[in-house]
Amino acid sequence: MKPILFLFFLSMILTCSAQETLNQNTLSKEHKTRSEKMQRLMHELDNVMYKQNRSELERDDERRRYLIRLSEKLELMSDKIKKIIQNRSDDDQKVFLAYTDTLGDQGKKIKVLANNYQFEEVEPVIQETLDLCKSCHDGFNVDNSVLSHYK
Amino acid sequence: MKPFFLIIFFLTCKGIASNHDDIEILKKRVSSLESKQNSMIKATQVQVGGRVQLDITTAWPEGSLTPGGIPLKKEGEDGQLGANIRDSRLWIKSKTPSGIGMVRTVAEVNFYGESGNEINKNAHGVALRYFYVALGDFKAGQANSLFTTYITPITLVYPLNHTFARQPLLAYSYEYSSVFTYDFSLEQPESYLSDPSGSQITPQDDQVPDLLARVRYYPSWGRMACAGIARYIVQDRARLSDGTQLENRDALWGFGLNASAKINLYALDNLYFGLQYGNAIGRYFTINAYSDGRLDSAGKIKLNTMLGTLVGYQRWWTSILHSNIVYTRTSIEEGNENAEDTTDTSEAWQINLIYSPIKNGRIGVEYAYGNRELLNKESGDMRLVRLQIRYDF
Repeated sequence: MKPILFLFFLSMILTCSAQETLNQNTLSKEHKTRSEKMQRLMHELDNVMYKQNRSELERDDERRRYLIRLSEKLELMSDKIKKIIQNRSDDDQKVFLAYTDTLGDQGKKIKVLANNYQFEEVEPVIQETLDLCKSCHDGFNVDNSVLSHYK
Repeated sequence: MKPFFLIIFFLTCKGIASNHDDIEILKKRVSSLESKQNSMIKATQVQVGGRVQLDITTAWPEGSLTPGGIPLKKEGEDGQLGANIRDSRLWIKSKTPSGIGMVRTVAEVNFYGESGNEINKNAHGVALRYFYVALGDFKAGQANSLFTTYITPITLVYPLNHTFARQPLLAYSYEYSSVFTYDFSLEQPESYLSDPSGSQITPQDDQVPDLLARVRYYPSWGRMACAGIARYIVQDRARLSDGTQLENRDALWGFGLNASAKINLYALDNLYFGLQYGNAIGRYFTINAYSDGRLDSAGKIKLNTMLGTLVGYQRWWTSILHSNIVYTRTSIEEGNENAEDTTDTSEAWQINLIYSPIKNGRIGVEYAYGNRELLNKESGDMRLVRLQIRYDF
């Protein structure tokens, strides 16, 4: 192979892999941003009782709205983050996809409970979801600091 | 070897059969649990709750932080201390699934009824706040008016432009999408006028309900709400405060707007805005500081136009410690020549620090400064400090 062709192919391979790394980083950043948005959502949900000029039913409507928003974000996140793992081994990908699918299911569960105003049953589901996130982060050596704010 | 294989075969079959039995038992248990759960969901669920709230307030001079309550110069005494639990609340709510949606009810009271003495009993009377039923998107009973400010920063004393009413109403909400909701209501009318001597009267001649519409918007960057109101202000041979009965009838349509918004800033911080404007917002606005309009000596109605504004910043120092700094201003844009002692403009600053060491509990301290000027140019100001301890259960 001529050196010029070799250099051309090498540069193509490097560009593609750099693009791939860039995409991975963008996806990871997006995942972090979504986590921060959910952190705000959870914080506002915790403080619904302090909203002024609300009856208890209006507060329940607020809780329902926040939880539906949260469930939508979880479902969206479970779809989006599937691509983060693309350059890992097949086994890792299988485990990660199981995590993301469960995350989506948790989102659906929260939506059903919120629509039935069963808020007392939502808290364990949220805790399960947090445990799921922590377990995934631990398994893939990801920083857990974002999750520490969910307390 | 054969007997050994036969034994293995027998044990395997037994195992399969026993597993099969276990599965059947488990299936029965699951279906019984499901039916139990379904029957629980179908039943009415009742929940009782409330809040305990202790307010300790001292002011220089004594007065209240409302456009009509800020003391004028040389009025009131300094540093008087007051404590009460009157804004504590009790509520009971229920929910019952039905074929056309969840039926929910709520009744809530506070202790702003008849005032008890502070000598030894402090037996304040119970006062009704809410009592209504919500069926799916419909609501009927005594609830918050749609004109009540929807988005406000957290203050321990209500801001000057506090806009609210709790009254009998019929309301319908339409959730257009997860970010847009439209609300419509017909609410109890009540014309609230200044008579020629400047006293405030309620003629009790109303014929048309207050008509309200509101849009709520929940984008990812914050939230907004805007309510519009149309009111038919009427007097029909009204009796004035001096006992004189007018001999005519007069009526006018008036309108108003109440917009509020919250913008998400860095981390958990927020920026708040509020705007109230209109010529028919009097009785909803600033806790009775203004009337809807005034009557001349011939019994003709002229409406008062008012403006309220709010800007606030909420700073979360940590997830359990936060502060709010809020500026509010109110003014009467047109009227009320019947009463020169009506507040022309008022403004206030409030700053607080609120700590929530446990879930549902908080302790906060707030400093407020307010001033006002009357139409006759008399003026006054006050400072106030409030400590509040609150626990929701």
